[in-house]
Amino acid sequence: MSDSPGSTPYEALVASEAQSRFVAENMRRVFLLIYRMVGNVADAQDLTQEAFIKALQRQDQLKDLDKAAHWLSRIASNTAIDFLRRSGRISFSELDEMPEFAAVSTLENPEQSLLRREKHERLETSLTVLTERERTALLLRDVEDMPAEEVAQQLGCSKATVRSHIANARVKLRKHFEKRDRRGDGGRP
Amino acid sequence: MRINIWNAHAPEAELAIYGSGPESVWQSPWIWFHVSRCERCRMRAREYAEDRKYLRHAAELLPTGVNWERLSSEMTANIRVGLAAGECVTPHPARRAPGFRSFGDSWRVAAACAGFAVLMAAAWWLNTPAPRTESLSRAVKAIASRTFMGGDPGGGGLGGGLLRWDEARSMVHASAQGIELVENGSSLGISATGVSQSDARPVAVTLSVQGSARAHYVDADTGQITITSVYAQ
Repeated sequence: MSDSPGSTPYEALVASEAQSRFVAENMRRVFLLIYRMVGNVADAQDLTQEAFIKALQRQDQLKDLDKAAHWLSRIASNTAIDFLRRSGRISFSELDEMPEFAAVSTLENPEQSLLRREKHERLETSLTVLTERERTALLLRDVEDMPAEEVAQQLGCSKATVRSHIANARVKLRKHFEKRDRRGDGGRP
Repeated sequence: MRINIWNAHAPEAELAIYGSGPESVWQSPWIWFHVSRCERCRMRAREYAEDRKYLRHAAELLPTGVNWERLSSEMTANIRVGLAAGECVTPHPARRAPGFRSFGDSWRVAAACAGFAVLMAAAWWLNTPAPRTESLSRAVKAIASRTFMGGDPGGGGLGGGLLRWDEARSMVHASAQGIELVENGSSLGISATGVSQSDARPVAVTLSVQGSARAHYVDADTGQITITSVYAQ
């Protein structure tokens, strides 16, 4: 995926194209994973870049190309977890504070955009009821489909603790959805 | 957690985990058994399963208002810059100057040199003779305190012959040519140089407890007296 100093220009070009394809195919997924964990677009952008740079610099560690996406997810989640440990807290900033990216896609009509916005806001509000560890464990297990053992390894705790985090997170989310349903402003889509 | 499968409902935490992975069957067999018979818990478990589907679907949505094309282009460019910067600061083995040896290469040379130095030091130490002054001092002290075997112990004068100092298996031999200490195959002698060997005879050999030996020789023809003193340190 990278051009080595001893390779021919053709090989370097192929490697560069492979790198670009790898980044393009995985960027959205990695960005969203990190964004759900840190809850902030600006931090998610920086951490996504950091995760890709780390991955491409260590690509010689990747033995099986079929597992590249899973391997990249581990690097991305590790990068986000390290960031959360360093910062000690999560901040959910408003997107209005970032005018350079506050442009609605032209492919959606106003109704679709409104629905998407509502759905997204519901998810963000729901995730705020979880603790940092509960949210990370839930996202890695339910969204990234990581095995519980691997989630435990990433969080640096036991499998039983991960199981407890995930159970607590799901119960909290369910109660949150029920509360919204009782108020009549909609829970799940 | 073991529950009353006939009367009580399953705990919420167990229902939240129920059905979310193959391991949950073996970890909570009572829950599986209970849910198969309890309509209320089965409904509850179904709600948790729908929550998981919703979370998976909603997590794929981009944050509201994000222009993904612009954001992804910026991130891609920054990744390229980051990789290029990393290439600049990270020395690559193929880019080393010819003849350059890093620390990783030179430690083997350093280890070989250190081993050779240890070998040479050991050889030098093994081939160095033991200090004879120490042996002489011990012998002289032993003779002075009369702990020797054989010979004439009286008077401190050695008129000739062999004395054996049993403590260290050393021998002191006094003759007309001088006195000689033999120990472990090595010898240290005081020879009466400057006098005629045939005519000279020792008058007296004096040993002191401080570790010195003195021999007086008289030349029979000229009457010249030669005094030889050795001090052990």
